Amino acid sequence: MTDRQLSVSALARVEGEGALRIAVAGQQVTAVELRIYEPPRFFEAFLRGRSYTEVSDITSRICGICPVAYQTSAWNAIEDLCGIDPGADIVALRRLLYCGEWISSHALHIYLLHAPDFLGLPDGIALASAHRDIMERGLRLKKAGNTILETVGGRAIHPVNPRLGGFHRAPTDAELKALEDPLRRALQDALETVRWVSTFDFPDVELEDELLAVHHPDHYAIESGQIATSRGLGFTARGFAEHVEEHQVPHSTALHATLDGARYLTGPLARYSINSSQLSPLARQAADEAGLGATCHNPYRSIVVRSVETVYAVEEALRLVGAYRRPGRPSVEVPAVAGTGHGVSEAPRGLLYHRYRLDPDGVIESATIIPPTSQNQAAIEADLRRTVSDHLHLDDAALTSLCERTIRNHDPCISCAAHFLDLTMERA
Amino acid sequence: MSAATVVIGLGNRFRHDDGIGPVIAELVGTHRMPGVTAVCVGDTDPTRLMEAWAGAGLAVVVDAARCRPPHPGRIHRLLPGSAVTGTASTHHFSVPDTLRLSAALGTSPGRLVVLAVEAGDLSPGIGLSPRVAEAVPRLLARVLAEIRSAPGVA
Repeated sequence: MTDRQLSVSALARVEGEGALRIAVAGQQVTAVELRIYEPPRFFEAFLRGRSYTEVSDITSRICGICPVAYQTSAWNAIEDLCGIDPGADIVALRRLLYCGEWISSHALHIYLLHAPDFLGLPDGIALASAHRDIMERGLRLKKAGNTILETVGGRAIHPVNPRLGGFHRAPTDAELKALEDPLRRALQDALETVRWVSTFDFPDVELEDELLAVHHPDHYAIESGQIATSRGLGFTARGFAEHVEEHQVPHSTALHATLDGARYLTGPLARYSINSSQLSPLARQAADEAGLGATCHNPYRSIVVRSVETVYAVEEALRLVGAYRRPGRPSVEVPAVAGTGHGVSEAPRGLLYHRYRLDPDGVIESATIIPPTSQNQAAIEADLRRTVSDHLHLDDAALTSLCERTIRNHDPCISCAAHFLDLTMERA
Repeated sequence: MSAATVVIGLGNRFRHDDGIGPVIAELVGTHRMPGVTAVCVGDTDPTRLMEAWAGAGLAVVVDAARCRPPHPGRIHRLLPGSAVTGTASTHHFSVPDTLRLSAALGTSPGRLVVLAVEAGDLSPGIGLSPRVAEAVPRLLARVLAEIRSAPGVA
């Protein structure tokens, strides 16, 4: 009997710092530990004692890739508690801002982090060397997303213009009009991206985990909605804590989570499988041509889903820009209310839940933030276990490489969750 | 001057000495030198750095450096190919990696000089530590000398 241990001490092409340890005894995988060792960042503790008006500025600092997601789930929670609806114009501007984040984040993951795996290349720089025009397309797409973020959010990373109740300043009609030309080019780039990634070779893998995503009755959910699962469960953000429970594991500084006691998956596969009927006709056509059905459970094909979602987000951004009416007031007042508020939105990597308890003066007494990577850790470990079990014939180097691909399929954001990657493979 | 020169102040001014790059870029901007652009890049997006130096004949990047043991305020002049690895950067996508990506895309500046200043304090907060603040006039003079060394600049 052969014992093996695989170890990756710092995972490449993932956001943040993490490691992987896998132990194998004979033909049995005895341990799979996705080790998130990035130190806990204590944001929930930072928030205690701060004013409710500060949440979006503090939580946006959790992530440089998806700050809008943190801002959005935060103000969804507090505005829900305070009984405030900021109105259709502000909601539309928030959705446009969030589309910018999806476009930028998806383009980053597709071109710089994920695509090299399908092309046998070590990284995005090698991709740029081998296919300059392709990388230029990816960077144009990313820039289009960043331009939305800068125009609406004030800057591309950690936007400063959004606030509880709306925005400090609403962009002018002319400022949004200037987005149209780069977005029209971006739409062509996004469609070409779908065609390109659909030609990749996808291993035949189907995950059986339950899927969980935000669902909105009127459109493909991004910035708001209720919660839906693949087995037909539906509940509000307020009901999240009744179904989702966090727990500690010794090998990770990020909490794991279960849905009604079982592991589950959030993210593009979940979003697409639950909401694909709500894609725009053009995005739906792109998905069909790329070979996606109504649902997708193959983690390798998540790159196709992200690409289709990029088409959708660009198209949606164009629609929102065309329909823009500068709000009479950029924000509404949100008087403090004592109690507990819950908020969700669809970060690029999946459902992001926030909960805040406020005192009568709006001082935050407690904060709970559950990012998608935390929720997905158990499912990623299960996917790794299956992958290793199915490929024990590979040597350690090849198996390690395959494990890293398996992780990147899920696009974990360790910095968000550390609240992550090195790989250790033990073959006993 | 035959091609533009750009001075790029790289860093986060909310992490004390990491703000040295933006401080110098702003000072260079006040000199209003023809053909010289000064920009601050405060985030980790590689595209921003590539856009800043694309088409430039000379790019001078000013950044903070963490060294052990530290000699705060000491200035290092680095050129492409210097023995700097990409993994130690406080920026997610390192300057060497961005340069490699830029080269692959054909957007590298004609010439790149990195002036790295050893930091004493990279903790959260505003303002340079005393020894890094003392280095500002010397560093500014080094940057201006690099600019004047560009072909066509008097």
